[in-house]
Amino acid sequence: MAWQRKILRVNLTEGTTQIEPLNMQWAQQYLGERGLATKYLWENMDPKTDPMSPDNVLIFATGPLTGTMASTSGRYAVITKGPLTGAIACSNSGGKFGPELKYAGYDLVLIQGRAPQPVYLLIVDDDVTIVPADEIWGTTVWHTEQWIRSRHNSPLLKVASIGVAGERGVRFACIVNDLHRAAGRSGVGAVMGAKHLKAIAVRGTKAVHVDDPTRFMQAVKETKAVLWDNAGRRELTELGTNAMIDVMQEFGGLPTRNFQDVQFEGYDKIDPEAMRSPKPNGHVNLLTNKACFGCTIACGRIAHIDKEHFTIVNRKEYWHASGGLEYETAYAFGPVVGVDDIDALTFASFLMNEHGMDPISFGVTLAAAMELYEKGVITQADTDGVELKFGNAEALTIMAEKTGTYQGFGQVLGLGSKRLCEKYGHPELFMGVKGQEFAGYDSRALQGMGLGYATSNRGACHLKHDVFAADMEDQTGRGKAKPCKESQDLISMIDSTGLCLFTTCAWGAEDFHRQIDAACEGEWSVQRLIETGERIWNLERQFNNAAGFTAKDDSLPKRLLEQPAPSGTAKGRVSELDTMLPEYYALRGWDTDGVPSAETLRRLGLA
Amino acid sequence: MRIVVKTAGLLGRYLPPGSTKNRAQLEMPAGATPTAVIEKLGMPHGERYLVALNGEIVPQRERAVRVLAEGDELAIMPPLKGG
Repeated sequence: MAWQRKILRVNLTEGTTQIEPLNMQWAQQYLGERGLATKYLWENMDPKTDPMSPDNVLIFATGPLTGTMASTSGRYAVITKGPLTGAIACSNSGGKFGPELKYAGYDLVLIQGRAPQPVYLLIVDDDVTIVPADEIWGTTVWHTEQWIRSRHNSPLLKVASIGVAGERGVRFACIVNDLHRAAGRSGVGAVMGAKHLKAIAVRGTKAVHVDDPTRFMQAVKETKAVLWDNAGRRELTELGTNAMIDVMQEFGGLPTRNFQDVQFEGYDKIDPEAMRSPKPNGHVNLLTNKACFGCTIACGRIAHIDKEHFTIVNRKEYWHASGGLEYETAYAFGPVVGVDDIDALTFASFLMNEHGMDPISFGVTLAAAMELYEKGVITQADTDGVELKFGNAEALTIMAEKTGTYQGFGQVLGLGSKRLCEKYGHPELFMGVKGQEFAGYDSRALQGMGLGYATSNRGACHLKHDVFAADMEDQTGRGKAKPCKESQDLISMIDSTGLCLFTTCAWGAEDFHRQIDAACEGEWSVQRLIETGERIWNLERQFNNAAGFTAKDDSLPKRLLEQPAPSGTAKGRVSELDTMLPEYYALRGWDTDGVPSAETLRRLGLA
Repeated sequence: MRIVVKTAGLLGRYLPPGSTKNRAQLEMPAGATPTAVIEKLGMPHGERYLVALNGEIVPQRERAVRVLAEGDELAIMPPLKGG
């Protein structure tokens, strides 16, 4: 129960589709979504495979609670080997696509091979078709969604697709569904492009059954009430995730100008108050908030750009409302590139969704390019004549468009920051881990965040651990390894349920346990769920170790390890990763090289 | 004594009327602590706020004993995470 007990296997090289039974033994060990797809990836490909080759496997996975009445049950995950990192990629999205896939009857879709010509996958319950995509190859995400629905005369089709960025192998291309929700990180869109798969369109009409409906309904009712009454939930609903920008500014953890600074003088021009305040001409950026499927929080923002702004003054195609600024987009188009023009930031956000790119990786890559430009390493001869200085809003939007359409210097930015910095002989300017760029938190101010960045299996990521409370109490590395490890295990489990991580503003492990235990067959205790999370984390680590990663990759840039924070509450501090990491390895049951011990693997059933 | 209080997000609603940009001047008695300020403003108890005094973190265990001084700048930030 809760699982549909079916997977869809697609071989694009051979042009075949096959419905197979879900391996229920694996479902009992890995739950669903992130965990279950990681197990399928591990069993179906060699971790050393080139991410852009036909032999890479691309999995779209729902969780047991996806599409149920539980709050935030709109989640699905994309699991593959990431072309940005060479590590396991695990990108999570909301919207309505995930539940629709579940209603079509699938726990996951496993895609192998490469189509000889561009195609899209059309799934209508048991009817699965591989359809030529010649007419939409080379077009945007927004056009693709509309075109597919129109072509099949089916407005209820839910579409996940890539833009030109994914087609052309931009290393941080993402997969966008429902116009502005995205499986954003690690370049999963480029894997789709390498497979010549433009989109998956799905329509489902089946039910999701749960094991104990009465108990499940009671658990859902009570956990929804807990979420509704929570102060953190209210912040997310009313202000969105961008409420964080004021906190990070005060704290001194707001990465600015490629992490040269930790506070941004223009933060209050792009914060939630700025989004709600009228400009002199009366334009207000924010229109409303928006929820994903079944969500009690509704943290999404819907915004529009001032029609008089230079970005869209003669471009009516952008005069509509679309996905607005969240904290990470505000950070990635704001402080880290030194820009404080809210309309430019919003336009860049629109472009990310339209062309299918990860805003964090794009923004941090542009920040590195700006630093290279200001240091004189690159010039306007490299940048198509654009003055690539920090704070240049026009440069931000021009480069976002060039990267999304794979033109000129945008092709170089499309390499991602690590490859770009190496190309120009300055690898030390790459701000990330394992090839993936940092999110909007500086690890000199948030020490536990730094440990989480360094050990995240998908490369630098702020969403795979939760040490915020400890980091805001104590700015040393003391005692950070334990909450980092424990939260990684908890979140690995949450990411495998089909529910949203943002519920943790109110919910603890027990709240997830109540819902899982009522919905899923088998006896699920809190302890078993946490151990499931730990198993998932260690299997991801095994994948990465087999792909060639070692303890040396669990590191941070020298800038954060050696150059003290110049201001803020952590002024004078550097990251204390060197003391946190050995403690973390010991807690994990890994050796000093970061390899899980035989005992750890045996305990978790991974030997 | 007079201090400056800064906050963010929905906590701004607890600042005195007329406050702008989530910032206010506040009259407090001598010997006041960060906890006393939180109480005076009516901010909900039990929340894990981020508290900084003149740009330095004040851990929870010190919030009821750290004595404020004239002209101090006290930041009380909501317990946000993620994003």
